[in-house]
Amino acid sequence: MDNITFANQFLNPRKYGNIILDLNPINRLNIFVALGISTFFVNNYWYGFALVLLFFVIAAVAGRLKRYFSVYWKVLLLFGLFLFVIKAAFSPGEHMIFQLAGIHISTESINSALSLISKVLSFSGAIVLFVQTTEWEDFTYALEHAGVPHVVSFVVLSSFQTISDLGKSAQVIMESQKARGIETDGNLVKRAKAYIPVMGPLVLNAISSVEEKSIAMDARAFSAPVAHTHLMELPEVTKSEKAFVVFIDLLLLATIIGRIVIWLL
Amino acid sequence: MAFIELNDVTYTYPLMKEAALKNISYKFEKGKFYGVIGENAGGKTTLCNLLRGLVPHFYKGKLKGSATINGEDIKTIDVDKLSTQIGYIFQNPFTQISGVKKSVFEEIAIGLENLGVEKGEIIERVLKIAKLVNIESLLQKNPNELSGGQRQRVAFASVIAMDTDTFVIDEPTSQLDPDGTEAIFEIIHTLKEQGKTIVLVEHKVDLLAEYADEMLVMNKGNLIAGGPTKEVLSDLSLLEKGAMLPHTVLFNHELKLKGVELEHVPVTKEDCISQLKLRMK
Ligand SMILES: Nc1ncnc2c1ncn2[C@@H]1O[C@H](COP(=O)(O)OP(=O)(O)O)[C@@H](O)[C@H]1O
Ligand SMILES: [Mg+2]
Repeated sequence: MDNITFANQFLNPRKYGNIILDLNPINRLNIFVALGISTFFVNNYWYGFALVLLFFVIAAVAGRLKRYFSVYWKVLLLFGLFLFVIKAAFSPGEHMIFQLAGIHISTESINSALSLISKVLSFSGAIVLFVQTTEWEDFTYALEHAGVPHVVSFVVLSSFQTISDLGKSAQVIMESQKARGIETDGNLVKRAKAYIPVMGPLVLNAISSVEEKSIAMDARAFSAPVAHTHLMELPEVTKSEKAFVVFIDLLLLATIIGRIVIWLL
Repeated sequence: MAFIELNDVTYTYPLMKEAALKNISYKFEKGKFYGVIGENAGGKTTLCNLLRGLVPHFYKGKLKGSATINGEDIKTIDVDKLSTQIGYIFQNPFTQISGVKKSVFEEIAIGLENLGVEKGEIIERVLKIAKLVNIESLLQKNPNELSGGQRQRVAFASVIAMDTDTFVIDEPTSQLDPDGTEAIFEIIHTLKEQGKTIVLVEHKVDLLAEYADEMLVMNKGNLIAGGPTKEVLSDLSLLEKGAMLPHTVLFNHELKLKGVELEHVPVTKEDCISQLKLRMK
């Protein structure tokens, strides 16, 4: 693409041509989080598991299934399996299925384990899905558009950038460690031994460059007392999108109220 | 009243014993090109920080004496407004990239966005400056993946694009080859022609000799010489104080030892050549 074509892209709002990706980032966050929260108020683990499935479907529709799964499987393993085993093995219950030493698995303990992980998995699914379907830049644009101060949105954006930079520099260092014959693979202890010595300087470096970066941003008139322009813009939110978000939020509200009513009665 | 006036300014960074600037007095006029030279840790960068108000607003420390910009006391000046009036290109090219933009194009646009320049004009200005600084081929690249020299040029372009009346530029060519350096000097020269005020810290004194109206020489926090370029750079005693002088000045000195006297000390190549031609006749 030549530079003029590239530059002219900024004249129009950014469109991904995908129903999920083109939702306004704040609305997308709203919808996902509302769904994630709803599991805490619906007392049925099938609902939570249905949401987990739904998030896979949404990720697929957004064309981000691979990205989503590459993070989510860790959640599945860590929270899903681990929490399930702990909860199922140690929660109290009457109808014993299996008992050995301190472990006692009962119908009740399995039920409460399923209920717990369905909540944890669906809520964390919502968050992971949001992260994997959103460019931080778009999110901060939307925040600023909604009235969040420039400084706040920059700090959000820059923190995420710093974290990802940190990850990248760590990787580069690890590769060079490896090249020097230091073991970086293998069990947890071995990895920690390779990682810990490089983390200190890495973090210190990141902190000191934050200071310099903040003056550099000042040099770009970051706090100029005028209204800023946005080179990259997102489309205006459509009426139907707004309506859909309100609908989801009302559903959540109804669920919460329903829960409270049942609990009071 | 001069544009920027320093009157017996002494500045010490927080927690430091020795002052980084010692009893500096100087007057900067609008529209002139000032070159700053001097050995490492001489206080050149600190002087830049002062001219741009980072001293004492960002770097706290102790500031004595008086410094004014457009008649306003630097201690109470509105630095946010100052950022729209004085462009500052820092010494370190690595910390000047915002890190939050996906393309060099957007990186250069940041300053213009912050100044509230209208979108169509931003696009025009970024394309123009990229051509000027010869980084058109980088525009679509990710700024975080650039080399030191490329970053330096992008940082330069990003600040120049803001088109402020004054530019403070701290060693903009440290990562560049001779061609790249020459190109940057050409641009700075063009800016001067447009009536901009320039303060440029640079080690390449031969180039400064060609372009600068006045020179300041820093040594251990002291301003050991300051004035019209020709006068300052003809002073051989500066050599002992760690300053570099143009090759032509050193050459003239050699000639003198051999008994060849030129009319005056040449600080630029052209001057040197024309005087030699006169002698040959
Ligand atoms: N941020 C800082 N904090 C404390 N001391 C500093 C800082 N920056 C520079 N100095 C000190 O101030 C002196 C002048 O430095 P500087 O202005 O960077 O010189 P130059 O640019 O000529 O190399 C040096 O002794 C340096 O160590
Ligand atoms: Mg310096």
